[in-house]
Amino acid sequence: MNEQSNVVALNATSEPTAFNAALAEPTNVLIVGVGGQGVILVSKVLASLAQAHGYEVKQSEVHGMAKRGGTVFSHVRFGPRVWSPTIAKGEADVLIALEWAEGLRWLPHLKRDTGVFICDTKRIVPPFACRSRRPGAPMRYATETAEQVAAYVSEAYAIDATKMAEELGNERAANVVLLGALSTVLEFALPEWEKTVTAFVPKKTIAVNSAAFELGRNWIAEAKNEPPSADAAPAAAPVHAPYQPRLEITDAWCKSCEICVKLCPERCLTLNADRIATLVAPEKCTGCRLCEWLCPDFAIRVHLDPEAPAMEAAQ
Amino acid sequence: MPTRPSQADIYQTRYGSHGDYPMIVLAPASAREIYDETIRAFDLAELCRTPVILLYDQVIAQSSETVALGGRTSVHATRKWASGPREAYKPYAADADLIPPMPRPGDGYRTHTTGLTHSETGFPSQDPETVTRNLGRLYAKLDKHRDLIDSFEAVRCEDAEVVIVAIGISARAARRAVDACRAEGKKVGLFRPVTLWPFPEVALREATRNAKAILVPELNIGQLRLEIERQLRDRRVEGLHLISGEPITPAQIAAAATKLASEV
Amino acid sequence: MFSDAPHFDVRDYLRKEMMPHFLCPGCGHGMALRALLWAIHELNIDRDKLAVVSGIGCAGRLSAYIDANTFHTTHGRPLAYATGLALARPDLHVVVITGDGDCLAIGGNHLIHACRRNLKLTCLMLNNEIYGMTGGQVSPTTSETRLTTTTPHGNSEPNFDACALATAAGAGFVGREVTRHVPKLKELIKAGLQHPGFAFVEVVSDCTEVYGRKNDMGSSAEMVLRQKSEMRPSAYRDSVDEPFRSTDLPTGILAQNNRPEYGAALRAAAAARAAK
Ligand SMILES: Cc1ncc(C[n+]2csc(CCOP(=O)(O)OP(=O)(O)O)c2C)c(N)n1
Ligand code: SF4
Ligand code: SF4
Ligand code: SF4
Ligand SMILES: [Mg+2]
Repeated sequence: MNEQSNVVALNATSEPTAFNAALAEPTNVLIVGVGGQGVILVSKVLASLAQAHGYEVKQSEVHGMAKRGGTVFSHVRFGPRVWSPTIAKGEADVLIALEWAEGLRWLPHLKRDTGVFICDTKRIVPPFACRSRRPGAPMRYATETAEQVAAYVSEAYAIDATKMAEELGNERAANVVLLGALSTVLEFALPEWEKTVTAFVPKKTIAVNSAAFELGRNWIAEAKNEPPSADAAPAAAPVHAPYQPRLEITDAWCKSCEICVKLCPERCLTLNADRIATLVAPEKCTGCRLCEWLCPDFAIRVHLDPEAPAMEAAQ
Repeated sequence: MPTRPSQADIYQTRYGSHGDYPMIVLAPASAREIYDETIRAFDLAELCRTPVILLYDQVIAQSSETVALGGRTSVHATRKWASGPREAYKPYAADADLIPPMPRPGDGYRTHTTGLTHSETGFPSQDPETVTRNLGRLYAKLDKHRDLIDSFEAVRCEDAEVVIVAIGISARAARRAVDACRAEGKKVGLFRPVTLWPFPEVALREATRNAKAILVPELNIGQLRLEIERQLRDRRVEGLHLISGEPITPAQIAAAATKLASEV
Repeated sequence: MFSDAPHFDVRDYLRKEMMPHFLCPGCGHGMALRALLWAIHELNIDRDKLAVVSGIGCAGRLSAYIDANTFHTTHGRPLAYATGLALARPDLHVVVITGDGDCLAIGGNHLIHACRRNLKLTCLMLNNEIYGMTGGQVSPTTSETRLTTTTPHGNSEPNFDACALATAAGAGFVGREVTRHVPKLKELIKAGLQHPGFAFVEVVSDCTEVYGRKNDMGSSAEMVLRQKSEMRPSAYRDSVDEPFRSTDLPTGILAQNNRPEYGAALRAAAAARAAK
């Protein structure tokens, strides 16, 4: 990550990219993100702008589980004549993503040779990205590198819009930072953009959103002048240091009730010959603490020891 | 019998709960005495770290008497509070006076209080030695402070051949009976325990030194009489028992005392 | 969920010299005790200022294991003792641990009047549907048809919904949780401890040795698992189809109000009188 600024161009072209919707083909903009980020606002601003411009606009969105952090996407198509409301794979002119993995998920929808990818480096890791209950277990979040992304698309920007918005005092304005970025690749005039954004954001947040818009817009301009950066993709989200669960069992307190044995999700406990709870499959234990919580006799204490390579070396 | 006179709770106050333990029970016989004994009850409770029962009859409770307040008007005893380091403190380890200093929540002692038999630590124990030692201490504690606990009234007992032993409203009737009998030349006296439990047995023996017979008038079938019989095995003890819901009159007591005096 | 912060160690809050405790193997009361101590830990309550008052029964025995100011009182009366303590010492945090028999049978009146007064207290009623300690007699919460020593042909008395009772009597905070969900129970107790009035928390607990055995409810583990299938958080209640609803016990915070707190009201009245 570039230390000096929040912004990095993955693969910028120095020529400004403006899609001319006056051409017969409609312009396809795909906006994606996670519930609560403001995908729909971005698409509404864009749709309204295009409509005001006299284009035919079709917008289609899915935001069913939006409130619960699920995937949200919105297709916006505008031009002199638009038939289908959805953008087919490989047909998007612009893919604008409010979340990193969501952006990568939708990359195949972008036009391979001319498509523009603008992506917030914000990471929202879904719970199912980590199915192992073991603390520190690797998260199965997108692992693509900047090079891989850059090789795939013709023009790409990884922008830490969330951090920029945060610095402006309102994290929720990240979507408008991205709108600012988007404004540089579409044909509409700046005043039109500003008017529409102002009309759509909540009254109390007009100032911060205007600033956010300008920040996003300027950022692209700057990024276009910067050489592409190799390590531009966001650093892997810090995973917890790997831990090794260790069970401390107070034999004298255990009453052999077997609750821990039967309720351990990994089935790694048993009663030994003396009918005292014992960990028989330590490699399966995730350290979830269920046994500790449910033992009515306080006989189990789960310790999560840092997995220290130095210790192993010493042995 | 609600709101009717009766004196049927003499053993209830002494043995009414589960477990073996001594009990302080005060039995005042007038409004003024209720006032004084209430103060004393608090004093004893604080001092000996024990509950105290104030036992008086319905008749006194629901009658009006002129009382000149004065003398002691407030509780004098102060409780002994725990002090010193927590580790060394045991809530039922007594000092020489057999009274352990009491822990106060918030002072950092974090002790346990239980109605189960417990050791000096306060935690439940059924160890025979521990239980014996700790229950024994409760008795020894009251024994040690009998000079403060005991209280009684003896009226014309020095030369009495018949001593009436009574408490509460029955004692007040007996007081007039004593005067009536003395007017007739009968040597009759009255012993009135103010502290009912532990029973002031030394004072009773002293008051009945010359008595040939004892009369116990009471509003029950013979509760106080049982205790007097136990205390004075070598003496004739007669009861005068009324369970009708009415108080005993001085005349009834005087008649019974006169009869007894004539028989001994 | 995972955090590097040291996890709550229940042993820090126990009188270790009293352990192992006297409860039977698998008794749900142990989990309830953990949840209470965990809540106390998370709220950072000073144990010198914590008073735990319990009644008589297996539930009543729990106070002895807590490293705080503890009072094991008389059957049915922990709320009465606690009322006196909380009124005399508003600086203390007073928690009551009671059983279903203790709280609803012999102590039923103390409960409804404590709810009515709304004195700042937290009352944990450990409901195992039985008089566990005395060998398994029917209690006011024993489910119909269940076998107990005093209902050898199955209980035919309808049982109390303790939370509904407490709510109707005016308790400031009413909630229910099962011991199976120790962390959720901890959260509920925390909410109760923070409530400024009378907080009644029913803990659905298992008497494995007496009730479980008598009613063929399987091993301790099976009893714990059963809780999960029979209880349903109130939040999900409406999403459950009607035929299944009748067997559900709603859990979570079931009632909360802001009625004036009795102790504060009493002190304010005394201060007003003194000012005259
Ligand atoms: C005044 C009085 N009556 C009866 C008893 C006997 N007794 C002890 S525990 C108990 C019932 C306890 O049941 P519960 O409150 O449900 O507690 P659990 O043991 O089930 O946890 C009874 C009736 C007693 N100790 N004191
Ligand atoms: S912490 Fe306990 S319950 Fe969890 S996996 Fe390990 S042994 Fe099983
Ligand atoms: S839950 Fe506790 S008491 Fe029961 S078997 Fe496991 S360790 Fe032993
Ligand atoms: S009798 Fe029942 S409630 Fe009591 S300790 Fe045993 S299992 Fe628990
Ligand atoms: Mg019970």
